[in-house]
Amino acid sequence: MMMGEWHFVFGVLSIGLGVVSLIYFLNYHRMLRSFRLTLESTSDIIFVVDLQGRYVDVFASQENLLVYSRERLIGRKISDVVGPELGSKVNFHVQQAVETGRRQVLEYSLTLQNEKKHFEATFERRDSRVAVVMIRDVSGKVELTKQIEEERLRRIESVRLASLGQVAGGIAHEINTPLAVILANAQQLRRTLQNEPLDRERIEKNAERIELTSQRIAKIISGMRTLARDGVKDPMEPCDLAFLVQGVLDLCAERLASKNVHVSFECPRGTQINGRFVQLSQVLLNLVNNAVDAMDEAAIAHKQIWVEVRSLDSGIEISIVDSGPGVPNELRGQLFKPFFTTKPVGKGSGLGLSMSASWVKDHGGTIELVDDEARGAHFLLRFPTAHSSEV
Amino acid sequence: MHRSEPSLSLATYRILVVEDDEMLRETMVAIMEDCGAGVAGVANGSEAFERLQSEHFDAVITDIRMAGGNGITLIQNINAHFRENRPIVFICSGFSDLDAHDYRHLDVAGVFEKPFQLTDMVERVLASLQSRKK
Ligand SMILES: Nc1ncnc2c1ncn2[C@@H]1O[C@H](COP(=O)(O)OP(=O)(O)OP(=O)(O)O)[C@@H](O)[C@H]1O
Ligand SMILES: [Mg+2]
Repeated sequence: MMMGEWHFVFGVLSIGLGVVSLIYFLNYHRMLRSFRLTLESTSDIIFVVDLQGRYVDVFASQENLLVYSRERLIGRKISDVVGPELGSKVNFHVQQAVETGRRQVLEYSLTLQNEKKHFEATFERRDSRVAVVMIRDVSGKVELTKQIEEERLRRIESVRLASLGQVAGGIAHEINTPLAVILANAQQLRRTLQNEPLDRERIEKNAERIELTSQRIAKIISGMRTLARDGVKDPMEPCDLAFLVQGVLDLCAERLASKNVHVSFECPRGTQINGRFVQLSQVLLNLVNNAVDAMDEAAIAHKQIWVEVRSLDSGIEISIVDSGPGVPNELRGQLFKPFFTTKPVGKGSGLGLSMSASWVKDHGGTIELVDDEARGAHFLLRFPTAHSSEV
Repeated sequence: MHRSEPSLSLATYRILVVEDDEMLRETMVAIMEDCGAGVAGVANGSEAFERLQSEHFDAVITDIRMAGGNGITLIQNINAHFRENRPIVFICSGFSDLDAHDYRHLDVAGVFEKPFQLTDMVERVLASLQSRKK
């Protein structure tokens, strides 16, 4: 080949390169400008990353957000800098962004200068080989979300304890009465033992009462423990409704008795739903407590609660109906909203029904207030039938 | 080791025990019978008031929270119905009821908080009955 030809080739090449770099240069500046804008407004770091997972360019609002300086980063593989795990996630999102042209988002955390930081990365396609990764330091936001979540859990906790507190008075009574039985029988036992000849029949009777009553206390305490527990993470399992509802009614027995509330409970044998026992109990407990409160508040003469369980082809229905005043039309829309309550401060949190609704939804069910001309408020729960394993 | 029980005699007195817990009621009745009293036990306030209208009792020991006619209503009925021959009224109750009502206006001779000492209960009932006789 002649030298002239080489020159020509080089010439063309260099013109070509020049054009490429000119285009690149112009683009680069436009990019830089838009980066600066984004950088100032929302992003803390912008990486330009190619399909091979290398840093093409880096911009950071603060040097200390970078593991290495810009100069040391450019040309390096991402996985060498942030480790293979995060590196491969980044590569994956870069590929996705480039191939689909759709914006990708990735949240991750890194420890920088001994401080754990949370980042949100948005990937956008720049061209067929390069994506722009805009990174925001969301540590503050994550901290805030965590605080909000903690606050929410605290609220739920306090509500659970409050509804437990409502029955706690009843429980103290429930336990003090059997304790009185045990104490009295122990005292009587001692008296009997002082008299000869020993009245064996009587001693036997005292012992039997002490035994039965201790078992009764044990049962009350286990019921209390069930409801005081946080059931959110319990597995879904088949729950026998007759057993579940009876447990709730037992727990309220004292409160129901003291407010003179009559209860009728119907449930076809063996009806089950798939769910979390504790949560479902809490839902029912709140509905029963609401009914008692409403009837008590309105000083209803004959206080009655009906709990009816129906097993239908379409699923399981549970009705909790009371003989109270019902819910005024203008309040119906608000009933299930968080913090809606008509009860005095310190008595109702207004979270009962809204929490119940979300728990029922977790169970694939629904809860609604239905019209009941003849009676008071009628809350209807619907659940899918539990698919119990064949016997 | 154990202290000997004082000999208490409720003989000649008639006492009505109003308690919805069957076992506690049975035990209270048995102990007071041991002490010589004529004792009747009923499960709620309305039953108790019926009994009181047809029979004489020197003392009534009543629970507060009961299904079917609570203790407060019973005491109010007693106060409204009886004059000279009003039985002495005691309350035996779970602790949690005590702040709910004001007993002072009800003319109650004593309150026994569950779980109570039976000997203490018998002693105090006896003391009230005897001091009234004088
Ligand atoms: N059976 C009912 N009859 C009449 N009104 C009712 C009935 N159940 C609920 N309500 C109304 O719905 C409101 C909200 O009930 P919800 O259970 O959500 O909260 P709350 O009972 O007020 O408070 P919390 O359950 O936290 O103690 C109640 O304050 C009451 O006004
Ligand atoms: Mg409620």
